[in-house]
Amino acid sequence: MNLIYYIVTALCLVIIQTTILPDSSLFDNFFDLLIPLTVYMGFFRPFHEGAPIVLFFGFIMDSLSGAPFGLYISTHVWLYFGARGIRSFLHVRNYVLMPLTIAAGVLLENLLFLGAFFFLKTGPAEKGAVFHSIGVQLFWAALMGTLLNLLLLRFQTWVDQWRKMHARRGDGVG
Amino acid sequence: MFSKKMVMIIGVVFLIAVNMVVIFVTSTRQATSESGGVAISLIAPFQAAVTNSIGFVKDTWRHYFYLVTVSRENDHLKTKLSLANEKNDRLNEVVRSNFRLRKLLNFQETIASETLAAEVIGKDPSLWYKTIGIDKGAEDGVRMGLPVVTPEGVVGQVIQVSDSYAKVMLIINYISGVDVLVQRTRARGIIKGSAEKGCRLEYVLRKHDVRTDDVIISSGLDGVFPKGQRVGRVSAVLKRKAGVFQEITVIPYVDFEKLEEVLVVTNPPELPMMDEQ
Repeated sequence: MNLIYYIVTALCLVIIQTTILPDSSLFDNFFDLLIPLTVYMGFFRPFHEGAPIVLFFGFIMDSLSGAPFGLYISTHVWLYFGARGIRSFLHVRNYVLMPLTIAAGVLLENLLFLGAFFFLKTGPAEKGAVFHSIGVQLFWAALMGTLLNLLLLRFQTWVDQWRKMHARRGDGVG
Repeated sequence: MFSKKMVMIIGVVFLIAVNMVVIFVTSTRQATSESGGVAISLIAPFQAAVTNSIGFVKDTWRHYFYLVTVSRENDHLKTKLSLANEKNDRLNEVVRSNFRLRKLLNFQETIASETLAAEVIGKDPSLWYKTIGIDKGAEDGVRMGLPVVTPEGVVGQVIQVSDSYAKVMLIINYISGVDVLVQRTRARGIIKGSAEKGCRLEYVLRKHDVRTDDVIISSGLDGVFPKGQRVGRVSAVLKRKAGVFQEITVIPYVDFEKLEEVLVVTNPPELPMMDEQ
């Protein structure tokens, strides 16, 4: 049940990122919406739930994007394990740590992409535009990423309550 | 011999190195994996559904609620249409005389004419790479490497195909390159994507005369795009004191932010050298 919920959530985020956001000039430089989900999975969910979702949707993003195959999977896997590492020694429901981690994830992804450009000897020659784009992404990530994670936590609570209610009734919904 | 911490650090460094090598290897190869096509087939129907819904809402707004400016726009368009008709008549004469001259000199036909209309269903999730998804695939005759155009100009090239959908790399992508000519002076160069909204025209020698508002067209020499397809217009030219090439900025004719329908050219031109061989 939880897996279905995360698959639907991730799917909605991918669809929003590839069809709705590009239509609006306000979100010209928007961050990768799957990064807050990856951070959320690393912070709050067990390994058997988080790892398959992160891997699968990293693969989906690599397939949809023109980026070198493996960039999205790499970013999300490293971010996921980084988040799991952080949670072992920090209190992760901290409202300062969460936006910082999401912003760090966005920065990591951008650095990986720019690193790929460096290896390919191609990419944007205009450094000002690059810094501007990353800056705007970090702003949106700090602002919206935390809201997204709080929404995910809230929806998770509702899903858990719904499961408990059906378990009590003996519906066997898992 | 080594502490647990040291082993972990060495392991992480090794994993990072392997990761970088894998990404470098995949980035130097074209995307041909079947699994990538399957992933596109999984997500594309949802993208198409959302895009069509948004299109329906936009159409309803435009046709029923936004009529205030329609009448003004109608008058403006009528004036433009009459000017365009006059220009069209003059150009028809040019076409006829061009046809006669080509017939006289026994030139080969260069323009491909078979096209397949497709709708844009999604865009690249990354900010750094510019691709679009279209709702036509292998079942409709789309193949890897086919050029994609619109009446406004050149759009890009097909880079991945599944049964019913395909991915198109736009000419504003950083790793895209289109062989072009300056229409006025026939100076040759390569169009590449730029971080700003536009393209760069590279490898144009300093000796060539290129000016602002010059029209850039496809040369046909890359074997991808038919010759003479509009690409963009020059917006800035910079000749530095040192350097072999000029720095030229080009604004594409196609508005990639509002791209909704495209045409896939299903019989692209062959390279002239291949025919001679």
